[in-house]
Amino acid sequence: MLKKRIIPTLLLHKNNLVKTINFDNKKYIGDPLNVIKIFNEKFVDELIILDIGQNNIDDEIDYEFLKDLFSECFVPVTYGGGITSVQQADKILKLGVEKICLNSTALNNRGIIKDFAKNFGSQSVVIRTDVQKNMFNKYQIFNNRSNKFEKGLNFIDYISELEEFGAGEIIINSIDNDGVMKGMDINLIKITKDITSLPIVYCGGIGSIEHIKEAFNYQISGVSAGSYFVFYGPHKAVLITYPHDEFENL
Amino acid sequence: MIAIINSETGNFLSVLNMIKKIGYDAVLTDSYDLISKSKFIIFPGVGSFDKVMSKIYEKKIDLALNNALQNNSKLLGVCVGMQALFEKSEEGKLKGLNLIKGEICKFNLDKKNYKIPHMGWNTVQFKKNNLFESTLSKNRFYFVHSYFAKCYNEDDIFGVTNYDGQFVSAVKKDNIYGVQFHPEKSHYFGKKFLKLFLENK
Repeated sequence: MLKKRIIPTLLLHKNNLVKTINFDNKKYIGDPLNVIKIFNEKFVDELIILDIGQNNIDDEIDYEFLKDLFSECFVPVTYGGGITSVQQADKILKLGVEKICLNSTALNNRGIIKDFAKNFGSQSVVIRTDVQKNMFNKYQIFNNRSNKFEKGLNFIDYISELEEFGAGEIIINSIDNDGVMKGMDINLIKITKDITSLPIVYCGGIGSIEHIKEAFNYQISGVSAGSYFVFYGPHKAVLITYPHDEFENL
Repeated sequence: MIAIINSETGNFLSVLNMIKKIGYDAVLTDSYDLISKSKFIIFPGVGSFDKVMSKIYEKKIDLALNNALQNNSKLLGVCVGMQALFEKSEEGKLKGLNLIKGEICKFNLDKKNYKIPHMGWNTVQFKKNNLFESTLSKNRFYFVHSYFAKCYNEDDIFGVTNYDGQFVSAVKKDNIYGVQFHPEKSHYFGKKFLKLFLENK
């Protein structure tokens, strides 16, 4: 049987590794190459690597840097950040990446998902969506590139159409819970599960193995976390952890 | 020498990185001469069956593989590279290499509970009484595929995996090995597997 996936999300910013809280307060974690090596030794299931410094469409993707980075990834990798064209994705996939992650690019032009799926197969196209509850308790989608919430785009409509557009997997990220480590937005998991049959990876708020267990009660394909794998203790000292022995029995 | 066949379809760079990590050197190549002379050949494939096969025939890699196998070289097909070892595939029109008797079929699963592609970590039960089984008794490997191999000859089945029933996830016939999973992306277990392939006489 397929194992449930437990996936560290690593955030790059100007070729450094950082972690955010509620999408703000970037904290320096370390040298990405070094951190990736450690995760590989700890039997990690998969890695999601996102460059959050790539919100400006004119920023060039640093392929040489990525080549070095991926040469140490002996696990499946999803990469995202600043990818707007099939040509860029092709270059990145050839460096040894399994999946391309689109976020703002998909929000700005849903039709482009089809091009990616046609070229690389749906299994290589992951759509990540960052959501936050508004004052009326409705989920709204954040666009990182425009730095604004999407007006007039309903969360449920958007997610439920992604499969038709050729997406192969959805990462759903709760901004409200980002970096807080106090538990997940279970309601968000339930809603997403109801509106799509695509594999779902939930991200945001995971701070313990109990949280991961709870998330898997809802039959999602994977969970992802940042802080849980890079911080230790109440003062959030940087320590790379991945207790794979404990994960085996989930 | 270890040759990694460059079929221009994806993950050959990951395979090269993994071989280096184990401590060997390898070349990425589509050269008839180089492949004919190699002691070890790894044939990774991603993408559609016909795309991979057309590259193989265009560069006469099928003939080079025959030369190498006649010299007792070892061959390992990975993912579509494994599927290419068979006679034919439901996915394409081109002929396979016909080194192992059988065909490649599309998964026909209960789609509600078993998604296609079969993607993620799963375990392989290796054939009893051999070094792979004893060394990798507890394992997990990374899979991404929508098609699976049907062996005509039961002796060629080297490993099986469960996903809405059992399918063949590894094959072996003399010096020819094939795996449906990706050892280059299966960290510790992938390393062990490739080391066994390269070092086990």
